[in-house]
Amino acid sequence: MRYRAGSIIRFATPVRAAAPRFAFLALLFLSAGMIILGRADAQFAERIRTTITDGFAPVLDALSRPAATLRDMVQYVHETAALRSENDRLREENERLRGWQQIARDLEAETKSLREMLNYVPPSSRQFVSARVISDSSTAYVRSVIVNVGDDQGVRKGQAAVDGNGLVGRVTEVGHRSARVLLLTDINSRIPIIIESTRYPAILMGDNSERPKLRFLPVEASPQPGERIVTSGHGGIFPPGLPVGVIATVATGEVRVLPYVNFDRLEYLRLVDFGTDAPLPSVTARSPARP
Amino acid sequence: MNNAFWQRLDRAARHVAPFVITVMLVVLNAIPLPVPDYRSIVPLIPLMAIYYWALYRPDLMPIGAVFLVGILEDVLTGAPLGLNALLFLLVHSLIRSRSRMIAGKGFAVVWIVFMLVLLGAGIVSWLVASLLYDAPIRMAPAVTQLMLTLVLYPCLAWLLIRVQRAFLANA
Repeated sequence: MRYRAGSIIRFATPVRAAAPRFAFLALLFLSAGMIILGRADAQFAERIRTTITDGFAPVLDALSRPAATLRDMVQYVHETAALRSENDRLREENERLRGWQQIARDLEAETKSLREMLNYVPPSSRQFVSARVISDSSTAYVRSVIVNVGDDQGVRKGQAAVDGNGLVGRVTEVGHRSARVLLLTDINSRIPIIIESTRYPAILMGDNSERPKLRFLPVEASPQPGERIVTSGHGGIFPPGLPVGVIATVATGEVRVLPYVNFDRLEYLRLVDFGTDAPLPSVTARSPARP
Repeated sequence: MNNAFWQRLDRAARHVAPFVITVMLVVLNAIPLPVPDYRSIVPLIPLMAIYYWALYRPDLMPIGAVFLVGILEDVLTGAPLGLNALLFLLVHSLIRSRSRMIAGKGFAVVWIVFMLVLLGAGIVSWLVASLLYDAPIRMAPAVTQLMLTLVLYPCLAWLLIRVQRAFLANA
């Protein structure tokens, strides 16, 4: 018996010594395997991501509130300082917008009567889910944010995310109470757009810079800096006509777009359900865009 | 007996402190801050923490914990799943086997070695990301990010030294 116990110890000692080394190699291969598998089978990586993000969503939600409060305070001080000039600017803008309002009313009436003449079927109405950005989870390699709503609130993959200024990006991962929005500046982002005035289509491609570029623009389009870019609705994922940005620079073979959205200050987003797919479970939190 | 139980609980809590603090840093690092263009240059605070613990208390940061921190960082930052886990494991194993040698030579050496670690990590992650996305990724933000991380390392090290003295002096 004694002999046996000794042999076990003699056998076990090198094994115990090798165990950490083995564990290290195993975890190393596991990480490398996950990178490759994540590329080959996006579903697998997505499931892990959404599960962990869901778990941390309440923590991120709570922690991002003080940061948001701080941001509001800084903004408050800024605004108080510039109150007078801001007031003048707004009065002037208000004057101008009144004119536009009149034009919009006229056009609305005209469109309505024309539609009645043509028996036009309007596209299905849009619905929104409002979401708060709880994690600015961007690095030098990825541009995305995490929001505090998930499929419990009716969020689905592919939905467009907008804020008050324009298109922000697209929902790429959905958990039960969190979702990831891929920003339109990310290197993986491709959005079908048109130039608003000339109606030429193109694809807006992110490259992790602040100014994504236009690809597949027809040669005869001759884009001009300052022209507005809106979503085209091609592919049926995004509703047409969401404002995206303006053409910033036109160089040989490269047209860059300055988005309307300030990605440094994303706080609340609206996720737009265009209703092109299967019907969603009814959610009371959602409200139709057009009353 | 009661006393012994509390002592054991106390010791256990102290032993997981490095892991818990590192997880907290990963989560805090993902909170949106009102700094212009913060998103692309946010310093790699988790990498600093991994380096620090591998250097000074490798016994309290087992590789399983390093792996978990890496996965969490990948998930919260939206990086390719496994990339930061891989990086953290490599950094941890490289540093822990040489920790005595590096830590004994004073802070300047620690900082210079951290610079080399950052350089290596930067090259590996840039290569992996570029391969995965089938396109070379712009380097400028990554370089700024690495520089900022390097400059801020003494601040985090100072903080973690305080933590270590407060909680882990006898652990």
